[in-house]
Amino acid sequence: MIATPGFLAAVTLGTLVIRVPARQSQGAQAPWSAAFAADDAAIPDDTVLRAELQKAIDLRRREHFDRVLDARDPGELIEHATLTDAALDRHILGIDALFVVGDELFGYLFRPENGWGSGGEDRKAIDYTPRLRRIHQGLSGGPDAFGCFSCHSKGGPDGAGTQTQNAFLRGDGEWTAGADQRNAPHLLGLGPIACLAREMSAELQGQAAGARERAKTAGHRVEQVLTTKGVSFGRITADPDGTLDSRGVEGVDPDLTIRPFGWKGHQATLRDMAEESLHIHQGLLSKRIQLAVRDGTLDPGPYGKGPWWDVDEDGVSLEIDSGMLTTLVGYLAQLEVPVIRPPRDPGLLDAWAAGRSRFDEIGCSGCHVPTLELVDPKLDARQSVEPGQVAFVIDVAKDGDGPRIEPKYGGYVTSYLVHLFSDLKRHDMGAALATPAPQGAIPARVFLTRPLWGLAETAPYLHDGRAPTVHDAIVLHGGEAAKARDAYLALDEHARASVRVFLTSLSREPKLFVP
Amino acid sequence: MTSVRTTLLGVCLLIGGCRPGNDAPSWRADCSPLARPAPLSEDAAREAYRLAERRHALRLREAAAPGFFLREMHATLDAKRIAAGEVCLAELADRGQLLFEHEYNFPDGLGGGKAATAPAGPFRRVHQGLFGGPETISCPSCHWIGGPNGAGAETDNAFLQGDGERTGSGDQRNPPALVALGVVQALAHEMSRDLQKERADLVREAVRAGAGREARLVTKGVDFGVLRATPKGEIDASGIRGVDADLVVKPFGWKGTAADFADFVSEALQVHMGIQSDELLATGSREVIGDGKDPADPDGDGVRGELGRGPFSAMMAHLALLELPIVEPLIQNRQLPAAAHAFLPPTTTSFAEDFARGREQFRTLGCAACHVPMMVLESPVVAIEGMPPIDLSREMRRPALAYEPALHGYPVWLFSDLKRHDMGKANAAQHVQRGVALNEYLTPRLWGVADSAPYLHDGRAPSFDYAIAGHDGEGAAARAAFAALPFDEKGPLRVYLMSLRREPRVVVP
Repeated sequence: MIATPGFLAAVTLGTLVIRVPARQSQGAQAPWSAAFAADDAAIPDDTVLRAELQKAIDLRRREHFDRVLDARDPGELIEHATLTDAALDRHILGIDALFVVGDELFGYLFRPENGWGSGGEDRKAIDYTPRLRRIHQGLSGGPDAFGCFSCHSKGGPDGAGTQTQNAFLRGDGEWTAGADQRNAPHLLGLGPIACLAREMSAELQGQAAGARERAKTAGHRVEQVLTTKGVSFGRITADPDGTLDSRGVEGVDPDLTIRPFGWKGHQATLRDMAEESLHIHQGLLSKRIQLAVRDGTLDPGPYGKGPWWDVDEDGVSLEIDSGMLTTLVGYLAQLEVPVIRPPRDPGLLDAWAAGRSRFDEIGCSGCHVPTLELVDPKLDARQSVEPGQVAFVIDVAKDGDGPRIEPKYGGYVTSYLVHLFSDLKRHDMGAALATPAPQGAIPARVFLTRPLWGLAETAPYLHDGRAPTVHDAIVLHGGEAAKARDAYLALDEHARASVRVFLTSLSREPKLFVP
Repeated sequence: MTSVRTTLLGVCLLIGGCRPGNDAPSWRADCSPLARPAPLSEDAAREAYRLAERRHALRLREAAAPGFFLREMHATLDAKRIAAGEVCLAELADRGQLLFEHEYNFPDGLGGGKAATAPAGPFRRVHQGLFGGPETISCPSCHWIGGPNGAGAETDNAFLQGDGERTGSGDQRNPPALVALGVVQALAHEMSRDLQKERADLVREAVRAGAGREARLVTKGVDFGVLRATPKGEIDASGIRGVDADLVVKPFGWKGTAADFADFVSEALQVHMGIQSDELLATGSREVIGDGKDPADPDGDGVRGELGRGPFSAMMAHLALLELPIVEPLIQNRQLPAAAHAFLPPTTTSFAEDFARGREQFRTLGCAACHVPMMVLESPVVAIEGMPPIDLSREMRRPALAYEPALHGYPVWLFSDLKRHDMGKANAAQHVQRGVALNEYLTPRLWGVADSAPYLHDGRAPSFDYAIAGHDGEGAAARAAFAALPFDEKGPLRVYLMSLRREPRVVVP
């Protein structure tokens, strides 16, 4: 009696073994059928599904409507995709409206009549067509794209760029080799990152200011360790006369401003990043740039030789007004944050759990810090600089579609956990990954720790997308990361696999979308 | 009688050899019918979640055991069983879709030579000659705009036949949307069959009469010029237009270089990803596949048999079944709910009138002369090498072919004549591609055009106006006619073009 089930099991097992194809890899994998089984566990319940579906359809309908309207009356679409400064001043529209409008702007293909591109060609000629420049020409850029989404769509809306979508920065307009390649990162969770960076900058600058005060009061040199959110940024020395010696500062500029945007961490705010991208990728100049050129506070070199009202000489004087930038920033700040999706397969789940611990053990988490804690989730999309300007505040913990950063309960202040897997600090990555040239003051070998959240959908990896898989990306780590890389390589294949499985669970929430 | 038999023979030769009657393989009959929910239904949404979950599970498994996916594909998809029809087409196409989405890595054979150990990575943005890049790792990398299997952005342009270094040395190609490839192949095969029958008739007639003869080659209403035959039956093809001298209509590629999409895909896998299919190794020249000593690994990356015929056939099945685009004017008969507080919803509006006027303009301006709106497909059966013929009217994804009794066939609204035209110096390529002259391009199918911006072969047109402005050569007259319209009169044509769209489909990316 007892033997029978065992016998049946053996038969069943035997059948399975026979059915396992000869070329199947060894290891703890489930058979083919399991890997391909339609799993209903991920399907939301009917009410949620219905609501999500309707939302996705309506967003698509709205976009299609605006595009058809624009076909009949050119200009309608870009108008519907922008909130004006007047509308923002009066707060006519809510934050959710800003999202819908910004979504349309993100998908808009800019045209020469919007100020796309540069140069004084006859744009009214019957055979005029826009001229793309795939390899950037110095700091003046391309243009290499018509829309934001042209390089931010992999893995879903606002996603990463594929390998073909790499930008070729600061080149000679022709050769791929001399240009500085950048693979477009995904844009999820930028709001919380912007807020984190602001808090970290404030804390570091506070520490420096404190040291200066203490040096003055005490009348002797004061050395101050710079640390924020558990990340060390070296040390700064203050002299009694108020001067600061920042030679000991690490991983951040001497002004102690955390710049979390760009592969090398060169922009501090979403607004600056968006403004720069619109210029180099689409040849669109913001009103701020024009005014700064007029006032002589900005070198017009990269922008063009024209008069301040049309620096890039394309015949369009108002390209990106500040309302449009605010729309874009308000949209980006509301984007969801990535999530972790552990495997459902029990065997892989064990590997995943082991991989999570190994991620710490071999030193990955030394730079790819899993969680940073955010106190103030409010972000002004207008980045108000002019006195008297009304702020347009996004709460990155509350606004937008979700998933959002999670509150950390307990304590008298609610803070938020941002699982970004980065220390937002710059590190030396070694000679092999070095860019052809320094970027501004940032040396060729130095990069910001890339946040790893949402990693699964963003292959290929590294700043220029040279690594097709997570394994290749790890192997190419050098410099400060060489020890962690060696630790990974020292693992047996089984243990390495667990690290990769964990990394591949860093994903984004599956969502309905009508392309 | 004789001519009928010759025609049948012609068809059989064309579709790669049918065997007589009963021996011809067909698909097994006991497959469970494939659930194909309406593209925006709740069931479609559930299906989209399931697919996303499978994709995630496969990705995790691939992370655990690199090469897992392709090994499993090879182990479970047997080319002989597929050829004999012993598998279910729906299941085959399903595997093909997963393969289409697969991201290739080094164990799969990504790239060539020492790509796997090159410190700067395996990629080459500008192709080096006919060998190509690789410049990416998957098909959806460049086929994503407007829905699954869609078009590519301007940033996705390939730089064909270049020097491997300078963008200016390559011919730029913007990836087109992959829709209804099976239907297109079937149409082109019927056209080739007609043209070849006309040639056979001409030769026979010339020989019979013992005198020179000429005939105007016309199929499905498209004029391919004049073919001449000497009294001895020798052919003078100098008068034919828009098709190669072999009279095979090649509807794939911007320049119309492939008659079968399988031919196109095997080349694309090589030049864009460095993945060498057995299909390619059997036919590709050394310039394309590389000159390694091992015939099973000519690209010398140490991976033999990168993509066997079984998995390749699965991908062909997936591509063959892709849906037809639609022609649908926007008539918004309900007010959409406001997306947000204080946000004005789009009002109910009908563009039906603009649509009707635009349709008329499309004809009167001369667009329809090349962008022939509709062709009639006689038989919905497409022959694809390596598997039994597929009846598209039954098997393809919705929207599918539908029989129209008045037309005695299946109307296909493709907006192309599947013919090559001189598009002028403004569009000239730098390299002759498979013998096609520098200025010549196939009339691109405008179906789905609303969802596939940017436009033109090099993606330089962000909107319809610039796409029209880019028409030179044989397209110059239509361009001038559009340009001459008063500003307000241009709207209807654009609205009409916006009605050429893909059926919206819910996905989980």
